[in-house]
Amino acid sequence: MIDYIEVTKHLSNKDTINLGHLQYEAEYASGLHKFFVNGCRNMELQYNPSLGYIRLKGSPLYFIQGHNFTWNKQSFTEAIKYIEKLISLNLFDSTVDKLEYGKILKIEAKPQRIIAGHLAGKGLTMEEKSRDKGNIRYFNDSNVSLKLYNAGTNIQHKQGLTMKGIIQEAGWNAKDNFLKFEAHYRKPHISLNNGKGFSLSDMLIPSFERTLKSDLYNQYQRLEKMKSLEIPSSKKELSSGNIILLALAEIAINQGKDIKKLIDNYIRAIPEEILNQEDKKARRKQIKSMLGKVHSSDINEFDISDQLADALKI
Amino acid sequence: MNDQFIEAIIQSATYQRKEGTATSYYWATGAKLLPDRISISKESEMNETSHTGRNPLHKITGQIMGTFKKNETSPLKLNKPFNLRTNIWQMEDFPSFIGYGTIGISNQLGKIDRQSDTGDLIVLHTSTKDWKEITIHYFAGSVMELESIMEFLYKRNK
Repeated sequence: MIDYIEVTKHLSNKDTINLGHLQYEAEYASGLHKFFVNGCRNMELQYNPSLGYIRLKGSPLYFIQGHNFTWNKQSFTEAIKYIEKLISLNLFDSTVDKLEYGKILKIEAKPQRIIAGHLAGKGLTMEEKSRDKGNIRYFNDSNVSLKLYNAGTNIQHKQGLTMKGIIQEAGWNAKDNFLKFEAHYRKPHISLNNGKGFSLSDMLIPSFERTLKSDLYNQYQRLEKMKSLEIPSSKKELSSGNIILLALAEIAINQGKDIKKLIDNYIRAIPEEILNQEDKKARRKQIKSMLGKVHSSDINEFDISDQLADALKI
Repeated sequence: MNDQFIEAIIQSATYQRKEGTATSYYWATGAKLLPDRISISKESEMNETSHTGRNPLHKITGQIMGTFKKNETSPLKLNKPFNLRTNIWQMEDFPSFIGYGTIGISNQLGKIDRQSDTGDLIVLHTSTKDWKEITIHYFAGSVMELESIMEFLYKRNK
């Protein structure tokens, strides 16, 4: 789905824009006028009369339907056509400056677990904010910002009761797990069109949609997926000590480190007065037995490539 | 257009008829898009020539006319002499409403014709006898969404 867009239209002498129905927000020293286009969620329209352009920013989906859980091209174009009528200006020939394309997937595992299993691949930097509580991770380079997040939490926190009802009718269930992978293209002409600028109408043609889909998949492949461990099936094997060991083992595997060696070195460093040789031997034996139960999983539970490909129908 | 979107774009105003007049209405509350003073005439009060209009689908039940004064501001006040006009058509499916109109404003030549239709939709409703007070709901650029807007207003008024 195409979500957030930023498009610019350079005005010709023939264009007469009608801004009367927009909500006036501010005028800046640069000569830029800022307006809001009222909808379920407002879109922003900037008008610079001296430089002769308008810029439209926001999510047409949020604008027209109040959510982005479902997507269809008709709703998207309906939103643009409505704004066109409001301002008496053709917008489909505007140049796309920025755009966000993503896909929501229904998954079995908790989204936080899957998100935690993704790291920045080559050329990307990872960003995580503590206030997001593991529900979102960003991976950035100069052209794109990739976002992997818990789409269910977004609905829970950002939507009112009425809208939740509407989204529920569209297939959302608070008990299900939804993950969204999204690419925010800062320079879409470079990432998606060989450096050539493209218009809003170009973006909607089927071949471009195919480009968006395959690029989203390729962007996902840039993320590094952590190797995962088999979670023991019995409660007995999941004591607090074992959970700590499993978490440590998972990190060690993904960092290419030998956990047994790490723990051995740690034990070796403990002074004799605290743990004597016999104590250390006993601890090593115990840990060896615990580590014997740690197995790496055959299937990488973090890698959602197949689900993403299915959802994108590529 | 879903209900949430319609709710987000609706702009309503009430107009009250001036005592002692049949068609002269003054703005009382709400959004200021139409002139402060407008004339709303019922079908029976209109002359024969006004019965021709831009919409052959529905029955004409009245007409709105108005002119913006010098001190008034509105997105509809674009060309001199700043006139505004629409017929009011009644939809058989929604008899509880007076009807709807599509706003036409003076064009660059100062005339109102088919080309000067803004595509803005208005829906008129009254709960008073003899149209003493009329609520006008305004939907910019939404004339093509007539049916879903009427249904939304009908459900909301229930």
